[in-house]
Amino acid sequence: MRGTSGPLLEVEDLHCSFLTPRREVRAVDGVTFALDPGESLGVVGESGSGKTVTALSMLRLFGPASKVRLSGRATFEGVDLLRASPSHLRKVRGGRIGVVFQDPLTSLDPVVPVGEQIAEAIRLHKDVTRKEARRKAIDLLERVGIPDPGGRADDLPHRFSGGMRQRIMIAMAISCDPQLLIADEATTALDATVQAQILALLLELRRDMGMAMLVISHDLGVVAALCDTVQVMYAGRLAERAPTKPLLETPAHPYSEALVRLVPKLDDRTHHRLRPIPGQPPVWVSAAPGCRFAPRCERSIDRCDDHTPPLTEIAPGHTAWCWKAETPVLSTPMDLSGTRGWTERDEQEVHP
Amino acid sequence: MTMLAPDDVAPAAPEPEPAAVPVLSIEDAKVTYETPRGEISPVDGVSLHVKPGETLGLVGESGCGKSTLGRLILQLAKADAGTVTFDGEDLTSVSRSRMRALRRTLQVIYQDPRGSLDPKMTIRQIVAEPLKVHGLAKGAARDAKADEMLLSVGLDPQLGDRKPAELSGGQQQRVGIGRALITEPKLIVCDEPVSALDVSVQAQVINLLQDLKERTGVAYLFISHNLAVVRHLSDRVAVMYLGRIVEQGPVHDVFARPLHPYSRGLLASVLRPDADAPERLAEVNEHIHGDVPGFHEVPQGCRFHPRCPYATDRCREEVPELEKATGDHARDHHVACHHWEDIVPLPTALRAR
Repeated sequence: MRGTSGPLLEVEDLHCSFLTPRREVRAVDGVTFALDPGESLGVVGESGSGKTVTALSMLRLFGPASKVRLSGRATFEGVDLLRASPSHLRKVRGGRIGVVFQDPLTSLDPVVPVGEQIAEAIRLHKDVTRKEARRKAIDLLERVGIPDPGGRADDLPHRFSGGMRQRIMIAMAISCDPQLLIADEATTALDATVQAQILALLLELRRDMGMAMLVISHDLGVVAALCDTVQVMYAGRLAERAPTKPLLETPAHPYSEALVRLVPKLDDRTHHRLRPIPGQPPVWVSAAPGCRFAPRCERSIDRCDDHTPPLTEIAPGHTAWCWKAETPVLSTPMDLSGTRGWTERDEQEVHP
Repeated sequence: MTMLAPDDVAPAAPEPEPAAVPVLSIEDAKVTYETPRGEISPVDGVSLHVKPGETLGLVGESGCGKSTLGRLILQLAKADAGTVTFDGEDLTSVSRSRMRALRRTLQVIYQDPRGSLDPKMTIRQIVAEPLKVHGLAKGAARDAKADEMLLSVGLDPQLGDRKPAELSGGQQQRVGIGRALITEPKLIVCDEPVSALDVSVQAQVINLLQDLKERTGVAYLFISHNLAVVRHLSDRVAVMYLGRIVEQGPVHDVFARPLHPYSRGLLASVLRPDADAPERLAEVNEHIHGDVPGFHEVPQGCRFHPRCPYATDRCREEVPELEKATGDHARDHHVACHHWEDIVPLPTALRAR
């Protein structure tokens, strides 16, 4: 295990495809990023953009039946997890890296009391007695805000509300003092008032425990609340990475700009027309070069179709993969000369 | 009906002439279900109305009864008390065949476009089906009308020969909207119509709903948990909590000056994608506690009191009625709270502007 210098996690040129009888489905296609100790990184994008598969690939969390082709590197605390032994992976999963998924009911065993499930997770990673593990489990339940933790530790998962179950999942994820907590749509299934409580809990835990976070969400509001840095994914690739504020205020990639623009705003008192992105994300992507977003992009030029855009630095820490991204989209008047522009017809969804 | 509110004036919803007869009015309705654990009433004493050409947003968290209210309007749930008057007729007492006929002008759009389209029918058949059911058009004329409708919801009529599974989620939702609109309805109950869609596609469908309203004058009851979408689309809004309406009024008034502690908490909980989000989050949790209780454990008195930071003994005993908020608040703004006049205004950061 290495010291505190250098990134905690380094993902390099990660590729992940699923082999189906009919074709190879490229879910993650050359993703590179790093995460420092204690940093909170958000990954946003629409369904199918590869945000969840990126996290699953790092931990090699695929069912035995799925045929997956993985390449690249995911170095966590000095060890490449893509090549690590199964026993090392088991130690990392739920130990050094805690994970919280969207649906707590399917992640919890329905017939085992919650306290016992947490204690079991602790005993898997730490050499403690049953009694000590149970005491730690009750402490954790209290830490995540379960009232009467000693009594409720013996209840089965279905006796808890959705918000409480997600608190239990968080207790389990932090039970071994992880260096990294992965939250994959952890609050998506919750109601707004409960979601706010869980996000506040995550913020507090991060502050107290100093762990890094990888927050996967389709909701820009969630990453704005939790993250220092945000990266936007589109069709298996990164589109942009920036500190949260510039990403939300001066996005450089036309896709990020559209995501920010298209979310209806609570403070918006006009019933103005939204200006949607024509078409829809590709269902599967080919290996051909070019920008994946080009068919839907209002700024695209001929080069975008057959030349994969390079990483462009816009400001320190702010990068975008776009031929036209020398300057943030919103800080300059939009230059549409030489681009294709839009017509109403484009709104029809003709993209394969 | 597009409206722009100048920033310095208190915005008012466009009031269709005061005399306009509501296309839908619900009076004191109650829906009760038997369950193994006893009776529950997901709709319990609800009154509301929708005027012609108006969009009424209905918001609340899961399990507040908003979808049951939608089902009640469509008579898919039976009223145990109260009336549901649509276009002058009380739906709770009409015959089944009369109800079927009325469904021509009372349509519905559901959340899950795939689950609500027959997988074996072609897109054209699906869109044309209401014409067939109501005997409005036949043969080539029917197909022509269906193709016209496909065009007006932004789909290429060539897609008419395909099956739902061959379409994307956004396209499927357009088909659902086309099918609802083809009989020229007066009211469409929209139950979370954009919630399953990704934002880029969601924006396309929101625009479509706005355009169609402008073009056809249809009214929407827009049920959603997404407050930002509701604000974007609605003229008025009703907030529902555990089977009851707790606040109701012009959308800009309710969002800028929510009066009920629950509406305030709900609005404060909405995460804004901006840089102040973490600071705001810390404050939100002082305004609302705990989870929504189930219908099996409806609290006495005001149903919100166990989660309310302002609750008093009166709230624990006496059910607050929906009353007109007086003072300088816009007319038509109703709230069901014993203490709405005494509650300190929400910090600006937590309000919608």
